[in-house]
Amino acid sequence: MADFKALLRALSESGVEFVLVGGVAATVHGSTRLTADVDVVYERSRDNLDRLALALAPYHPYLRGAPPGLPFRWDSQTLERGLNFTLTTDLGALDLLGEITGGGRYSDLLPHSIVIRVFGIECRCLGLDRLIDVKRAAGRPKDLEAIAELEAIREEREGRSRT
Amino acid sequence: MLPPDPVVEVYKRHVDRSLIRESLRRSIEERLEALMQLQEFAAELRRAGRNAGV
Repeated sequence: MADFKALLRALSESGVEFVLVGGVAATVHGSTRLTADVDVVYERSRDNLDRLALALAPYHPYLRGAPPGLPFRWDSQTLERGLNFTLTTDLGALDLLGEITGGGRYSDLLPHSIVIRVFGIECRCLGLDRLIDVKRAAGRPKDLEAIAELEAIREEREGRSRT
Repeated sequence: MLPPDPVVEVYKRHVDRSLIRESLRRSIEERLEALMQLQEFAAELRRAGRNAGV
């Protein structure tokens, strides 16, 4: 189980620049679907990689699903060498994404993000329209129900319910 | 915004809008708290299933 409160606090209080995407962003917008991990698109400047490495170090990030004992080092050099990381942490599963299909990088998503205040902290979350576009761009059959729900949420918000 | 996808439109017919309306009445924080409770419930069910040998 992911401790969203603690994860978001760890990232925000360390000044990490990121945008919430994926299932948790869908929850922010009103989705009722169960999601097990936190997906964020992070900014790839050297300073931000340093902040990210420091912020998560106390929670022992490790490659999710990988056998124990690999020479995986959690530091900004590792972040710089890679791009997308699917991790386990003491606070739950966390996907750190440098880039996403149909959405691009942090700087591409920033104009399409909103600032939310939750659990006493402020963080950025991808806006509903772009979240739908990104899920559609991914083209995964497993996302069809999620996309349908997000589009229904948009219609409800716009007062265009067909029921 | 992308044009409507006919496949998504079919899936949309089966969306329970009463759940969405209930969720939209909540604050963002309440939605995330509800998600964490749901995760906890799912984990408890998995544990129960394992203990029952299924």
